[in-house]
Amino acid sequence: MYDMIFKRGRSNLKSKSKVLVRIILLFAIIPFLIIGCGKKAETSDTKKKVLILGFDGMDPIILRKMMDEGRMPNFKKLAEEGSFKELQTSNPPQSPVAWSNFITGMNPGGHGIFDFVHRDPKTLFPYLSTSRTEAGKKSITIGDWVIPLESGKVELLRHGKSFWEILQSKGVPCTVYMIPSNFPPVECEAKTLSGMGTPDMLGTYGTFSYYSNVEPEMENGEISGGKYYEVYVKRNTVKAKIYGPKNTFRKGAPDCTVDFTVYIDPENPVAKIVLPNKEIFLKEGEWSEWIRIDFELIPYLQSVSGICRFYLKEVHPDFKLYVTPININPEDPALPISTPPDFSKELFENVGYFYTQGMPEDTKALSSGIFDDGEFIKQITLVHEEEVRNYHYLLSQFKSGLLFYYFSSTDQNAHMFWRLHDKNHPAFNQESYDKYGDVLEKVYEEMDDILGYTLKRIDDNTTLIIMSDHGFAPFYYSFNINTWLLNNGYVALIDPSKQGEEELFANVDWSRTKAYVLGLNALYINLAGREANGIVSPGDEYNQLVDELVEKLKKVVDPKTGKKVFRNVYKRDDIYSGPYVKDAPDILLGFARGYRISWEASLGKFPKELITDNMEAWSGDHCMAPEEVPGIILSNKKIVKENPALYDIAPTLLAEFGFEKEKEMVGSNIF
Amino acid sequence: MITFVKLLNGLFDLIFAPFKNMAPVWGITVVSLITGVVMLIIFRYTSNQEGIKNTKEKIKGYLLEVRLFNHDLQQMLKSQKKILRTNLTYMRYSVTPMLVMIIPVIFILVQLDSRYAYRPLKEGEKTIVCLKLDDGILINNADIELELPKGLKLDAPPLRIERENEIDWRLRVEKSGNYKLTFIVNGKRYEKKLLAENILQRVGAEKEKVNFEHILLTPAETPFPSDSPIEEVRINYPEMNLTFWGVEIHWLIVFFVLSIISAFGLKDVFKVQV
Repeated sequence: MYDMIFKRGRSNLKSKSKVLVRIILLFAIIPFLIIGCGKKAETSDTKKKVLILGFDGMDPIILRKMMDEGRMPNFKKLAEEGSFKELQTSNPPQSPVAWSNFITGMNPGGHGIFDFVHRDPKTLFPYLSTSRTEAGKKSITIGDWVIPLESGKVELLRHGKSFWEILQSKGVPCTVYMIPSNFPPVECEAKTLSGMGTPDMLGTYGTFSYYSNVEPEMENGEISGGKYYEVYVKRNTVKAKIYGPKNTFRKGAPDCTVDFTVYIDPENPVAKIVLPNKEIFLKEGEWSEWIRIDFELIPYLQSVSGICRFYLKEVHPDFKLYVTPININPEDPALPISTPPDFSKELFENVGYFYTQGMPEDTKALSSGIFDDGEFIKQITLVHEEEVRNYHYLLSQFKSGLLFYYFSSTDQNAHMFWRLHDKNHPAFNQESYDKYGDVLEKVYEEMDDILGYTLKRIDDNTTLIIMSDHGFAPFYYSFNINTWLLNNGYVALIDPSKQGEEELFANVDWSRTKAYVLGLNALYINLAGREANGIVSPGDEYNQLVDELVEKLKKVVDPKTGKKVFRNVYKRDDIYSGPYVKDAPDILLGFARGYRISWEASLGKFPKELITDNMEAWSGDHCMAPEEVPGIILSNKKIVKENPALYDIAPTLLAEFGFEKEKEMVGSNIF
Repeated sequence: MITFVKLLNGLFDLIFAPFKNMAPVWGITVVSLITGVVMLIIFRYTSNQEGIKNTKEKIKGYLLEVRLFNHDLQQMLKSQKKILRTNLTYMRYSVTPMLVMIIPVIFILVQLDSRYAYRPLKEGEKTIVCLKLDDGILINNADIELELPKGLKLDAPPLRIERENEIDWRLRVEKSGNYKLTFIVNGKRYEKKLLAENILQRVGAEKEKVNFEHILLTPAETPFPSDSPIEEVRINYPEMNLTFWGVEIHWLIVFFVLSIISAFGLKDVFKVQV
């Protein structure tokens, strides 16, 4: 009996304590539920830190001059206390090539990137050199709907291991922000965000939209780099659509669209843009914040989102509205733009939306006259503000390992405003100069501020490297190299009377053509067995032709100035090494300062004039001989290597953390 | 109805008072837990507790049958049929308390929505204020003025949308605080609150002419009188982002999950058969 009572008592006690435990547990976990933010543990810890700031296109001549004038005090201080040297750029000195040298420690023969565009020798069709996108091939069609049975893929075409892959695999935590030539980002554990080469939601390098009741000036009914949509203002209302990616779930893959309405005041220069999930009130000349746009692919089941900003250019008398390219949404990316995949979301959550397209400065909008100089400056200021904001965040998170951060403004500004920086430029305009003459120098001063901010925040364990991929030079004259080949008998046209009219070699008689140019510095021989209609035999004929062209091109003189057009012309085997030399152009064109290939020739056209003045806003360039446009390198450590080059940086970074360079790397430690 | 809503506002203001200067998640956590307890009590007194207990015991018994006679397919099917039938009985017992509970839950949700759907504006932020006139008065013929208190600034010229009979203003918060916007329409004054103080409070994005649905669903402000020329005033407040365990989550999910956890966690304490 006692035993029974005892047992029952014990059972009651047990039950009561169970309830008590439940209550305690319930209330005990609440603060943890609320407060717990689940911070991730660091992957590895090392006291050594390396911080690299990449200022695209920062030029040693401009930098030195401004340092001497006292306008770059932080750069001057770093140069005096550490080192400042010119940095040998890549050949050709184009950003995708140069950054690939930097990333891999190899020359183009090793990483396989030779130009912004490569050509398929079988079709002679150009394609972007750094990445390839392919849609899934297998699908089933049911009515208007297409069900994919295979997913598409995006592929990085750059070969070779990146320095951050190597370092991260050895336990060094790396963060790499917007480095060019890394889309889609190479899979690894490092935190990386892809940069130049990252497309917009339309799969292009950036296509803006322009809505107006007045047609802008267009060539062949198109604006380069953008789309014009004619709209009507009815009862002070404009109805239009935002065009997104193709809907591959629908037959014929129509564009995804989102409707929007703009209400404008009858008199005041203001408008309200009404989107499905957002209302924006803008004054004339104002930019909106980033707006998320959801494009529906399958109703209620599948959608894809992008982000864009609106710029209300004019309300009265005409309606003019610019919309940025629809950028991949970092919060919910439709394509891979970061590693790990949620790194872009981490950035968004801490800094908000930002441009994710590779080249955010809308140079095309300026070139096509949609923006004037002031409007373009405002747009690049927005880009730069985002870059600085994101940099501040990542620098605050930088506790160990390596941080690379990329700034694009120095490059894009020099491209667009050299005409104001240099009074000798054919496109120099006094009125614009009076307003914005100092814009390029101001950008350099902003970079000095960034360096100043950085210097205050790094400790003695940090190696700081400031570098650029190339410098800059004026682009005074456009050289129609394909026209020169034609005039000198290396190209034959099917119908000479139509010279300059057709696109992309359409008028070329390949059975009588020995050489052609496609891209910004690339000359190809029409080689039998490689090109679809090749006529030059490999071996002696090929070698003789290459030698002949190199010699002749080196002697080309501009009759107007009496100057040589080329500083140097290179044979690929003389400058490249590695497994991909076979894919390289046969001859690399090293233009002299002031000269560059014309836009038309770079896309396989044959204008009648050989050399023309460059009157476009795109007035500075670097697609010349590498000797003309070296980059810069500064460090808080002494650089002992003579003539350091871009491909020396990767081995240097490995050495900083005590690792040997990879055997494929051609560079060496600069410290 | 207005009086009832005012009473509810007062009650919930009192409940939320300790949390108004804390992170928003604290208030909703406590209210959700209390709601769980209240629902538990309502359930206890509106349901057939004995019936529920018996039904659950029966289900347990049938489940035991399934386990014991798993070699006998016919017996197993019979037991499962009984489980299904008893489950229906169990659900029948739950209908009445559910119907009773739905009413307070609606009022709680409305109160939570008024606090957690939007957040007050911050210093430096801009917003759009839209005034829609009654169909009887045309926007172009009416004499309309917006009077702003100190601390708010008109940030752009007004925008008149004739086809919507609407006029919009863009305001900028110069200094944080709670303000009253005064709309003067044909000489008569009408007010709407604009909140820009960073505390947990009822944020009324819309204020309409008096109507039952508006009174019930938007308790943040007393509606405009029925003879008002104003149909509606709307302020574009930013949505509130509720972060829970480092994850952004909708307040409704937090409410349902926590109130269910609370109710199930405490059912033994309150001796409730659920």
